Formats: sequence, C-alpha cells, structure tokens
Amino acid sequence: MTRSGRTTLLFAALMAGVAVILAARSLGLPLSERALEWVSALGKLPFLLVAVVYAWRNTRRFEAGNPARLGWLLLFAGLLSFTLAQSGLCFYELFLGISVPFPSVADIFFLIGYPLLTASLFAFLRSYAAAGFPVGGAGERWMLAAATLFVCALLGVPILRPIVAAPAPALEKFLNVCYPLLDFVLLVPTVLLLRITVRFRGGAVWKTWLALLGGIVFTFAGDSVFAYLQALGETRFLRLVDILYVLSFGWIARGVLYQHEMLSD
Amino acid sequence: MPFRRSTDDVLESINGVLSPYVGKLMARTAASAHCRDLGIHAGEMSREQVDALLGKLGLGLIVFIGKDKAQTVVETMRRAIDGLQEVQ
Repeated sequence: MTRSGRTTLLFAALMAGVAVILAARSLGLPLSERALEWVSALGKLPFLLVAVVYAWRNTRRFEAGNPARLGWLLLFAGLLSFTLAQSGLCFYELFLGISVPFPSVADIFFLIGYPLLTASLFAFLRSYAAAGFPVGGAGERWMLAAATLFVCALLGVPILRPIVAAPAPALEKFLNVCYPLLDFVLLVPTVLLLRITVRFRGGAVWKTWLALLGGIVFTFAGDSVFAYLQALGETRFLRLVDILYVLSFGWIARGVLYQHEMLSD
Repeated sequence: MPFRRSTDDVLESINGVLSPYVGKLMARTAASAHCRDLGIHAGEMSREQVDALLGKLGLGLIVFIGKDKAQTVVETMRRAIDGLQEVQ
C-alpha cells in the first residue's frame, strides 16, 4: 500500500473510531456525557487544524497570479473561521463545563466561514473551467446550478417550515434559518465541482476533490439535521450531528492533504 | 533528420504521464481535444506540433498542480516522447 493509501486508511479509521464512540450510548456502551463531550470536541478540532495548516501550505505552493491560489486562500480563511468557531464550542463545553449557548460567539465565526467556503469553491470552479480541460460547457453548468437550486428549494420547505414555525427568540430563529440557507448556496458550487471532478476519476485531482466535496456534503447534512432537531426541541439524536461533522471535517482535511501530496510528490 | 513521431505513440506517452494526475479518461480526452483544436489529424507529429500540444496541456495543469510541478510533468512527457521511435 502507498503512503497516501495508508494516510487515507488512518483518516478513515480515526473517523470511524470517533463515530463509534459518539454512538456509544445507542450501542449500549456505558460512557459518561463528559467523556462524549471530550471525544466530540477532540474528534473534530484536530481534523480542522490539519485542514487549515495544509490549506495554507497549498496556498503558498501556488505561485502568485495562479487562479487556483485565490481558491486555496479563501478555503484556508473559511476553514480558519470554522476552526475558531469549533474552538469556541470546545471552550464552552470542556473548559467552562457548560452547555453551549445558542447563539454563541462560535456562530459569528461560522457565519463568516460559510461565505468564504462558497467563494473559494466558485474561485476553483472558475479556474478549473478555464483550464482548457474538457469539463463541460457553461450551459451545462447553468442547467446543473438551476437543477440544484430547484432541489434545494424542494428540500428547503420541509427543513425550514418547522424552524420558522417553532417558537424561538428572533436571533435563534434567524440563525436556524440562516445555516440551511448558507448550506444551500454552498451546495451549488459543490455540485458543479462534483460534476467536473467525476471527469477526472482515477487521478489525484479526483481523489482531492471527492474527499473535499464529500466533506462539504457531510457539513450540509450535519447543519440540516441540527437545524431540524433544534426546531423540534429534540436532543436525543444530537450525537448524530456530531458524527456528521466529524465525517465532514475528516474528509475535508483528507482532501486538502491529497492536494498537498499532489503538489509535493 | 526531421523529428517525426507517431501520433498514437505520442498520445500513449502523454496518457502514461498525465493519467496519475487527471485520470485515464481525462488524459485521453484532453490530449485528443487539444490535437483537434491544433489541427493535428495526421498519423505523425512534428516537433512543433508536440511542443504546441504539451504547451496546451501544461497550461491546463497549472491550476491543479502549480507552475513548477506542471513544468516538471511537461518535461517528463517531452522526455517520454523524445524516447519514442522515429516514424520511418
């Protein structure tokens, strides 16, 4: 097995391990809530830190003037915002020993992070479409974007309806609506890049983007489930949200590392 | 003696170097599409045509692997093509 293959196996094992521990109660394992909080925090933050460090290193590897450099810079900034937000959540849970208030300071960084991630994906999309590889025409991308928005609108109604209807403070309700909406916007360049990625299957570009975009899809799933559970006042399945975020940050980190391997091998 | 290489052999060499990065299908499709754009239809290629093709592929690679790495990949493709037999 190659070094890259071993790294992927390590990432997958870590994600699976954390997911199993987080699902411990459902599996009948006697783990305290405190232990689960530590696993939840430490299962996400290291992946984000790896992603941030290597996104920055990837940015530096692309020379000034390279259109991909802007994409990596924006991705780095978005992931840094997510890392700060996640660190804020950890601070509440692990060091103050209290449940994370909602909204909290972490939400500021999450709200900054989403537009940066979306902008980074659009920057990649623009640079990859102009690279001269046969990745489909602009017309195809517009059609796919319209179809994605249509599906988002269909999904948005059942997700957003209980959130809007739920009795909650205005700021809380605003954020609960905001996160799925930001996710829907993020989903458009994600789907367009996935379409391009499929054309590179089997190559290092394909591995990089499959992992990275897969991670973003898990973010979308985590946010949607969280918003839905929050609106219903349901707390039993919140660990599922944690698992989805672990998978999200883990695959994003692996994707960023794949790119670094491609630049350095 | 003028430089003449079989177009099929050139494309095969390019695929071998390019496919670890962009996948087999994209390597083949991209090289064929650039050949079409450059008007390379004959069964053999001149040095100028090979350079033009490698230039196009190199430019495309820059956004995925950076300028330096793209140059290295292009040089590897050029060496592989230079090592091919002359068309008699």
